[in-house]
Amino acid sequence: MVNIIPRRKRPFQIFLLFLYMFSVIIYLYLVYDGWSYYTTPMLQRPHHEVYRLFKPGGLWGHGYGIIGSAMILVMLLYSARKRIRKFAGLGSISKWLDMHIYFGIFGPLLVILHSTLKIHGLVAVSFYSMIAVALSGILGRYLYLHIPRNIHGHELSLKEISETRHRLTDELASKFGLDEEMIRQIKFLTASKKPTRKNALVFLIGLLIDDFRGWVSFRKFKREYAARQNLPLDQLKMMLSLAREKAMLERRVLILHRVQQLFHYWHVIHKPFAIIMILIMFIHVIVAVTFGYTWVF
Amino acid sequence: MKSSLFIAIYFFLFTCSFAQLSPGKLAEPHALLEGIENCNKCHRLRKRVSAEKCLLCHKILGQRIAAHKGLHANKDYQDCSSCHVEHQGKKYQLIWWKNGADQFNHDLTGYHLQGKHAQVKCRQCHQEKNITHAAKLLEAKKDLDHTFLGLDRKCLSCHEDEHRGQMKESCLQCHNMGAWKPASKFDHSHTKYPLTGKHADAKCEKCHALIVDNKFSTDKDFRKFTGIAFSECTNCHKDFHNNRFGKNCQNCHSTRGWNLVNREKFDHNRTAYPLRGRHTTLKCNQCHLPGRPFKIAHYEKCKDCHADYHRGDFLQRPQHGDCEECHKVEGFKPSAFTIAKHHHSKFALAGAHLAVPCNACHVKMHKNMPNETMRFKFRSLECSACHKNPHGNRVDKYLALTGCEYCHSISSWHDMILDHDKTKFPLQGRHKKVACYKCHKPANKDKNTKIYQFSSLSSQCQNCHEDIHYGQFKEKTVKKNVTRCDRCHSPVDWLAGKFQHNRDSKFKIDGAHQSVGCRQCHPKVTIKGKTFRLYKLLRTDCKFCHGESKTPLGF
Repeated sequence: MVNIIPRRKRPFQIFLLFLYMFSVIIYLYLVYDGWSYYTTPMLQRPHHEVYRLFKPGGLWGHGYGIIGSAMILVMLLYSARKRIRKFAGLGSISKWLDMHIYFGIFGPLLVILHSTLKIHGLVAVSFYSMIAVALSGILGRYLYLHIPRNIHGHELSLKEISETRHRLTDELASKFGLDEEMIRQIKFLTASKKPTRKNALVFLIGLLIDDFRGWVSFRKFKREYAARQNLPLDQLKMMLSLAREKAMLERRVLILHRVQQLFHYWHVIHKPFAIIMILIMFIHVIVAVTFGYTWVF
Repeated sequence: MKSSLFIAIYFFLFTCSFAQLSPGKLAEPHALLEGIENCNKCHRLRKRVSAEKCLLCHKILGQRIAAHKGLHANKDYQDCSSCHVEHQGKKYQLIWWKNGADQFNHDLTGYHLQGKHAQVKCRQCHQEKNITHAAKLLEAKKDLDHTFLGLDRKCLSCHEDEHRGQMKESCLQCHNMGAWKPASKFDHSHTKYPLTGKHADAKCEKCHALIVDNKFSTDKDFRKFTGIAFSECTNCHKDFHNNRFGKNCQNCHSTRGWNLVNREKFDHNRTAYPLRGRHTTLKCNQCHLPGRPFKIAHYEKCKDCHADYHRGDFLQRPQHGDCEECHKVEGFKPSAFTIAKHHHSKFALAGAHLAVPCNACHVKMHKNMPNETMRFKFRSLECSACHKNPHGNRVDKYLALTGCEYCHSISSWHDMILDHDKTKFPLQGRHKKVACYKCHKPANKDKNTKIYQFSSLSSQCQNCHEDIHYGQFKEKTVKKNVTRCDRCHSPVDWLAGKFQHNRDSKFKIDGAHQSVGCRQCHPKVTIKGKTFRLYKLLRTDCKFCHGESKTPLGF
């Protein structure tokens, strides 16, 4: 039995929301604070009055690097959680992923501030790897969403998917009295046909367009249905949640094979860059510490 | 996972072979330190970048810091990397001036820029040609065109020696940083030759000559300040007196002014023109006129100073009008032109002229006018050139002969030398004793312009003498109304010696008449108030005298 993910915000999501908001505000402040320095041409930066603070080895800049690097290291715990059985009991994989994504976003952002975009030598490989890992993480997260999962974040099997589809159809028909026509209409709100494009990039762009189009269609459906049906608000929300779930599931079923294929390749890109990033980052840190750049320590 | 790890390791090794650990390229001057093997040449393990490492290469800087010299000797400037930031790229300038090089506080170097130094650009001083010990810097691999090291504080390490080694002291003893000229701190009174009087106002170049030596491309000459003889005035000044007064000019002159002569000490007689006579009474500026050179170029002749009072009248003389011929310095008057000298002139003085004062003939002309002079040139040497002819044109015929001297003597106007016998009226008898003016009376009555009669004077007796006969003897035929006195009288005496009664009258004397006195026949008669003796009787008959009438004439 697969539970449907309720649309109501859960505490972790609220925490996550506040965490992101707080982090974005802090980050924006840091960018604002150092804007004058970051926008100064490279050759003139050493003459900037806050150079000593914001340079990569400065009090602030070095701090950004250390905190950003630490966040990236913390981000790796997600891989441990996934791969080490001992950690299996430490929270759901989706929460770990959410934190992995959080650290994967703000860690590199702080490292960018640390670098002040002055990227040279071996550490540049780490930097660009970090950028690649972060960007690919966002892509992976996007693809991840298109793979049907249960509440714990585990991928659903085809059988489970089929059962879920039937359950959703039944619930919409029995609880809310939707006829076949209406259910068919919901089914095709976000997906009308199976993707045939072989080019990954074209597929991804098409995926984005279809998602946007589906979002627009569902909103239109929401307005029309809300006007036509005289349901209590909680009943209406429930019905729309089921309808959204149904529509998304139908669309994910259509693109499942292609998304799974891309997700596989994504792992091949995401992981090596992450490994390179970590390795060179360690070298960078070792060299820096060796020459005495230990921040406040 | 395995494939990801494999790809990562492969990619890592691939990038490591190209990428460096360096966070950025080193600046051009440090380019030779590029490479992982050179990191420890600047960095110390666990010590970041150390100034000690920097100074291992920058030895000269290290020596200056040790000697507490220069900017880097300041505590705030001893952390090299805080200013000279590295790994910023090859083009990065390691030396950065916070507010521009021109605003650099040079005091931090220990050398305060003053005056002009504060206005010049850095590279006007910090350039290769001004570096004192270039070899030392070159050995330290310094680029002499870029380094700020190597300058000496001595002025001459940068500036050309304007004085060519004449001055032993520091330039700042005389000059200041504000400007080379004027040498504001220079005080001539501290030299061996303090300036006094006019010397203090004189321009330097008057004494300190400009010598061209072409030593420097921008400075080809210099002024001589040392080795100038000054013990005697003539070391600089020309001896206008040609050593007549010795070499000690200060006996007469002082630095207050050449013309301000100490008169008490000055003896003009030692000059080329000793003062004599009236010249001794003159004030200096009467000859040495203000505004003109004190040295009088020509003074040998009087006219070098004095105007020719005679307006060139004597230029034709052998002495060409030299004043000394007639005048002396004792005074313009009286003239030294003696009578004896006058004798040698065209007009030798004689007679009354010897007694005449000069100015009687040589009168002033244009008196009280700017062109006043005395008359020395005459239109002729004749008397009439000076003397007025009182005769009008009545004696022209004599004047035409020998001038006034025809009649007059030079001894005196009144000494007549005229031979009256050569005239129409030779003097005879009593006439010789008669004063001239008795006969030659003025024709007019004007006392001031008396015009005496000479040639116009008639030779008739009655012109001078009264006809006491009252016309009894007037000619009635040839010279009508003329009495021919000379028929009876002679000038020897008035007696009628020449009258012979029997010859000259109609009445012959004979008989008793011969013993009768004249007066008995010719009595005095008074007719019309005039009393005279009647010689021409009206009749010659006897009765006329001896008749009835008692009066001989029968009246």
